[in-house]
Amino acid sequence: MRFACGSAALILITAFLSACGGPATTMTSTPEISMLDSLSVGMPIREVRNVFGPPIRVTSMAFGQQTGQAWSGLVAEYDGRKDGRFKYNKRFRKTRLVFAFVASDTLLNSWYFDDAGALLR
Amino acid sequence: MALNLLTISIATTTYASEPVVQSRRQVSEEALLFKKFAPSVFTVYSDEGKGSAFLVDSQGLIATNAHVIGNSKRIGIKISDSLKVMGVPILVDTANDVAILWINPAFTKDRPVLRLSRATTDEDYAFVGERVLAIGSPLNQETILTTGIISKVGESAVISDVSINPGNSGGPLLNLDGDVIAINTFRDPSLGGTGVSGSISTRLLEPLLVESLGKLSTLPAPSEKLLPVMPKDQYPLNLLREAAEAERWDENPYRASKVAYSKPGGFEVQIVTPPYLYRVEKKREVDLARKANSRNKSDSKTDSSYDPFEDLKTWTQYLGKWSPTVTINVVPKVGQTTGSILGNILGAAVASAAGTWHTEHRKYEFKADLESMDLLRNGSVVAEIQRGITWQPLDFNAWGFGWTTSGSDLARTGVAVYECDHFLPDSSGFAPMELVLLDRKKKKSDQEVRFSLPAPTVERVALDFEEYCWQRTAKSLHLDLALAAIRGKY
Repeated sequence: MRFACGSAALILITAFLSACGGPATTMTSTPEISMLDSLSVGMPIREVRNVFGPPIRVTSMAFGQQTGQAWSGLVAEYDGRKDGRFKYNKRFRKTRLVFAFVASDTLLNSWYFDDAGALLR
Repeated sequence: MALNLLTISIATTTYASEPVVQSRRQVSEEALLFKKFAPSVFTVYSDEGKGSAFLVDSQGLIATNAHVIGNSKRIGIKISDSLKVMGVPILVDTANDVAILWINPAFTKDRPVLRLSRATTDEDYAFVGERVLAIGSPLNQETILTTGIISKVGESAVISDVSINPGNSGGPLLNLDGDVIAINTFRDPSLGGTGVSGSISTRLLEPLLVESLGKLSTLPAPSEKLLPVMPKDQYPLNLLREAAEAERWDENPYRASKVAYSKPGGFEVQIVTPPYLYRVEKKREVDLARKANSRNKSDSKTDSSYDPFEDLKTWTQYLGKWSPTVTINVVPKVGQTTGSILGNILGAAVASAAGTWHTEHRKYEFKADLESMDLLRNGSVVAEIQRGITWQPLDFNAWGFGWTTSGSDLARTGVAVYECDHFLPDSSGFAPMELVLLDRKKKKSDQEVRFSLPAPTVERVALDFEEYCWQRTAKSLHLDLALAAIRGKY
């Protein structure tokens, strides 16, 4: 049942995040690091989308299995700037925004601007 | 000592129309002994491979087979899932194939010491038909139980039908009193059958143990430093499939010695990651499957479609497959001997001058012989999860019209497994990584070969683990406290 709800939520939220309509102030999928300053824990997914625009990918995931308190949520991925550290591979940093399903809302939990896993917040 | 068999009284699940049935499941005496002594049976990782060992003294002395450690320069003793430490050989008896190692006693203080059999007569020691159990780390398993009965009691060995496989070597064979009567050592395999197992008597071990205890006061205690262990999780199977299906995949970065400007002497160096390995194994099969399935005109997949990814099952982790690790292979190059090259040039010249036919004889050899390998990151040695340096034969003969070719040599190859994190960039970018190899074919002053891992190779490895690292991070990600509090209200 939980899975079914999660899947339904994912479809709705993916549709929402990817939708062209809506009052998006920035329609971009390559956020600058300065844009991360506008994020705060608990922001609803709608507000985040208004800042960041549609992501390149949204994935439903289970988090925290190793902490003893697993929880479910979403990851919204955005392309970042080309990473100067990689000289031989075309690679872009990914920005990942992690949302948690809290009651009937989907709220921002944390965010990453680096695939190596450095938590910025 | 006879332990009572325990019968588990489990309230059996009943269905409306079925009568209540008392469960007949039992905990065996072997299981009770396993539960008691398994924490004191360890897994040994040496240059020779993997084996078992067991605690024989509270000061940290452990017993194993001599062949388990061989001439290894580094011996890792895995005590539990997350605890692996360095083992130091104290005494080794290669003829009887027994050895005593020492690990820091801080790691063994809460573990029971296994008692060697004190039987004074052959009858007391062991008898045919007696139930026995083996604890060890065979194949891809760690610290598991196998049981059976004694088939024969020899002067220095016990033959039994207990299942023993490579990796069981050095582990204890216990009787139902919990006494170690022998060390699991060899198999007598039969063609088509399961074979029987051989365990050498602990009587051969006792003198070594007594002598080792006498030496301890003269030696420094072994290191308390923890060594890396094999990750318990598995590389994401969907990423393996993506790698095998990718249209374009540059394999050159994995052939580190080929893409590097400076060469590693007479060695070839190859870096292997799970997606690369799977792609190499599967590419041909994937191509063939595409060809076969394209014959099917239907757009949808049918029962007759060939699925090349049927082997991607999560249970393969129990076979040690697809660990999220990086493997470095170091193999000596094979080339023609100098004598062979010169001899053929001379022979061709003489034959040409004399106007006769020259038959070319080409002789091949290994161009290097690996004694040791170390990986440095930022100049510091990276501890490997597992390392093996093993002998490789070169033995072939071939001939054709006007030529013969042969190879006859023996040299060592190396393989080392590392945690993927060493290959990831940090805030200052990629750290310089260097392999230090020792080539026994060279003169003593010239044996060390230093090889910098090329940047395209290190980058490629980092890319292979990017998604895995993210998924690993997600598993340890906490739900923000404020969000958790809101969640708690609903």
